[in-house]
Order: sequence, then C-alpha cells, then structure tokens
Amino acid sequence: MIEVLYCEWRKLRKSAAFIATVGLALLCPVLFFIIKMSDNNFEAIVTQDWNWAYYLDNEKSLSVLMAGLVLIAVISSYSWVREHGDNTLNVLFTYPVHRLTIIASKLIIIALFLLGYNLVDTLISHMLIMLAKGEWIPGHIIVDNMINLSLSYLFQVALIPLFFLLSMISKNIILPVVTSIIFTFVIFAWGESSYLNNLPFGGPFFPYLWYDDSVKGLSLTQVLWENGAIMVVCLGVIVHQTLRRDVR
Amino acid sequence: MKYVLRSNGLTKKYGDKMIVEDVNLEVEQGDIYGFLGQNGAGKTTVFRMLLGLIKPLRGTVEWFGENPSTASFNRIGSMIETPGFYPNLTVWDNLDIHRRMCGVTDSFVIEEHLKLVGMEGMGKQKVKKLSLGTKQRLAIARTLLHRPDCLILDEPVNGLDPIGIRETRELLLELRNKRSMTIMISSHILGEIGQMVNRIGIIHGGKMIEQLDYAELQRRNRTYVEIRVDNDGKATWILEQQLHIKDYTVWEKGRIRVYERLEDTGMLNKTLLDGGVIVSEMSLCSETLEDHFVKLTGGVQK
Repeated sequence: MIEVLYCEWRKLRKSAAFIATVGLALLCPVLFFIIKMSDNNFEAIVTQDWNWAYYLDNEKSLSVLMAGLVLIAVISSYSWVREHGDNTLNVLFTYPVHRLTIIASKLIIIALFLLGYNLVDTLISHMLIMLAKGEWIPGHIIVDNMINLSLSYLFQVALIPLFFLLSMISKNIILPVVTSIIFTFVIFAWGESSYLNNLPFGGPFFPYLWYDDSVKGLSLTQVLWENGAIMVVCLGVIVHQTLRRDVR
Repeated sequence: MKYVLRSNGLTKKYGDKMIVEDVNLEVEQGDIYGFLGQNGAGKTTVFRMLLGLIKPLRGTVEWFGENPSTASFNRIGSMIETPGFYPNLTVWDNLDIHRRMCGVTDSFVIEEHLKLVGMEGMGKQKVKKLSLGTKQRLAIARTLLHRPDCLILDEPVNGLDPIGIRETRELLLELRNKRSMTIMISSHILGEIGQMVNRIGIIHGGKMIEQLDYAELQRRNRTYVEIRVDNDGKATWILEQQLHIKDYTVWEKGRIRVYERLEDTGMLNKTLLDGGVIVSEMSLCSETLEDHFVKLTGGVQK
C-alpha cells in the first residue's frame, strides 16, 4: 500500500493540479490580506474592533468558498481523468494490486493534498496577521482556529468521493468543476442562513458560520449526517464502478 | 503438456452486438503464439478479457493452471494497443512507478531494460517528447521489467521502423530461448509474425476459426504457379475449357494461382499465348501465412 501511495503521490506531484494547489494555498491568504489592507479596514484589524478570530475565520471561509470547492473538484477529478486521457488504465489495472487498493490510494493522496493546502493557507494567514498586529496570536485563538479547520477539512474530505465519482462517470474534468462552481454560487446565495443545514456541499463552509451569532438555526448534527451520507453513498458507487467497470 | 493460458467459451457482447463468441485458446509454455485477425475481429477484446480489463459475458480464463488472481498478474507482462505513459514524467519515472507497483525492489533493472531496447541514457527525457516508435520500445521495456513468465503483446511493432521491427523480433526470440518466456502476440505484419511464431490462432468476426501449430500450417500450405495475365476472364476460360484445370484461384485482377499440373508450366504458357492471353510473368510459389490468412478470412476472388 505504501508503494502504491508513493506512486500516486509522484504522479500528482508533477501535475498541473499540484501547481494549482500550491498556487492557491499561497495566493488566497496573501490576496485577502492585501484586500483588507487596501480597504481601510486595516486600522480595524489592528485594534480591538476587529479581533483575531474574526479576521482568520473570514479569511478561511472566503478561501474555502472562493477556491476550496473548485480545488477539491479539480484535484479529485484530475487523478482519475488523467489515467483515461493518458491511456494508462490498461496498465494500472493489470498490476498485481487490487483495483480497490489503487482507488483507495488515489482518494487518500487527494485528501493529503487538501490537508497540505489547508495547512499552508492557514499558516500563511496566521503569519500575515501576526505581522500586521506585531504580536503573537493568543493560544486559545489558535486552538479554536484549528478546531474550525479540522471540521472544515473533514467536510472537504467528505466531498472528495462525490467529485471523484462525477469524473468516473463523465470521464472528464468539466462536470465536476462546473458542479463545484454551481455549489459555490448556491452557497454565496443561501450560505449565511439556516439553509446551510440543507446544503450538503456547504459543510466546509459550515464551521465558520456556526460560531457567527448573526446566523441562526444552524445544526452541526444535521450537516454531519448529510455530508456523511453523501460520502458513504458515493464511496459505495465508486467501489461498485471500480469492480464492475470494463476498461475499454 | 503445461498450459500457461487457457480460455474456454470466452464471449463478450455490448448491447445487441456480439463482439467475441466462444473463443477457446490454449497457449503452452514456451510458445510464441501468433493471434491473427482483421481490424475489428475481436483480438484486443480477447486480450482485455484475458487480462481482466473486461468482464466476459461468459467463459473462463485460466492462467498458469489456476483462476486469475491479483498475484498472477505479477507473472504477466502486457501491452494493449497504444502504450500509455504519464507524459509529464520522465522515462525513468514511468519505469520506476511500474517497478514499484510490481514489487521489484532493485532499481538497477530500469537501466538494464532500457539498454535491452536500445534506449540507454534516455532515462531523463520526458515521455511526452518521445516519438511513437520510441514509446513502443519503452512499452516493451516496461512489460519485461518485472521478469514475467508470459507476455501479451498487442501490435508491439506498430510505429517501429524496419530495423526496430527486426530488433523486436530478435528480442522476442531471445526471450523465449533464454528466459523460457511464453509470448502471445498480435500483429498485422504477417510476414514478421511468420518468422517467430510456432503456433497461430486466427479470429474472424469474433469467432476463433483456426488454431494450429505453425509447422502444420507450413506442411499444409500448397505450392502453385502464379501467372500474371492481361485478361483474367479469358485466361480462366482457357484454363477450364482447354486445359481442364479446375483447381485455380483468381487472387486479384490479373493474377491467377494454379494449383494443379505444376510440372507442365510450358504447356500452360503456350496454351494461354495461343489463346491470345498475354502472360507477363509466371513463377512457382508456396502459400505464405498471409495467403492462408486471406483465404480463411475472405478477400479471395474466384
């Protein structure tokens, strides 16, 4: 399994998807910081009116919203679609490795990529705000931020099978990406309300609104169940497709 | 008799279209088995079923005397249609991924096999910059990397120049002789196939129409006189009416093959000339594998 994971990592590492991931992880927090500095809110950031958590949660929710869903779709679908495009499935499924092990490795590597993206994005946004304020972030802020990040990350991972399955069915990257863009617009329109409970793809955004007192009626349990159900169903279909699929 | 590969009743259907029907194959250890068929005959579909890439509608496959398993693929090297590689990775990276996936621990095998196919020193080149012929060589190197007991090669000489074709043929013969490898190969270049196989199977319209030893085929292949004429209608009338020759074939326009009275070619020539047929060429020949294939699968005029 380790060798299979390593091979999947090597394939993805030298791909456009990896470059996009790194680029977005670096770009989003920097862009957010520049926007905040430039719109005269900078004074608010360095005073008590705009506290640490508010800045960090804003940055994270915006990066998840603006780039996160599309990034999940791109990385998830790229891993499968390239095997079709490069005609390497003929080779991949004739290795002395079970098909499910190969698919599981792909999903794990995608999850690790996402983890890397989230950590780098978080690290840079923390460093930038510390530079702006000229002081260390209080420990409890970091802990709260990590809890939100962990929850958001789990919801992001729950969406990987959905986009992977869409790429398996369509054999292209367009359907998953268009789906993610539609999801993003829907969250923009209805995300800051209790409708978020009923948007299973809104999970990654959820932790950053849950603590927002102005948004009422959000249910963590409901969102967990919905995201969990989608993940399990999509994984089941992926397993079925993998075992039954003819490679033509 | 030890069989490396056996199939029984392999059948595949897509929708209402029968692609392959009741294909029975037997490949013995040490065989170089030529799997022949026209485009669309079902060769690649059979290969994919043998390798588990396609689930057959019915039928069984046996590898090394057992039902296929993930482990048995470690003893098989395969190349199906156009070889697929990861274009952004180097030659070395592509082979290294294959090595790891097949559980080969030593990385020196990569350079060893690049040298075997004449690609020494090309390890750092990106695959997307390679020509089709070079990719074919790389694909052959990849199939051999984990030292399989059996190779399945679908059109391995596609895209190779004549020297590359000859080198591939010599390599496959060497693999059979020195590594006791069993090889199943399909190719359109029947002349090349005929120089290396010891057994052939011919598939047509999804059905296996013949499977026999190549030595037996050579024994059966007939000798004939091939005549090039300006008017095959007139020539065939003369053959039938004046010379009472029934065993002949109009191979193509202006080319007739006569299978009887081979000892009397002088009389044949004179009679045709007297009948007003211009004979531009006459030669004594033997049927080749290509001739046999064409006869079995169609394309012969009578």
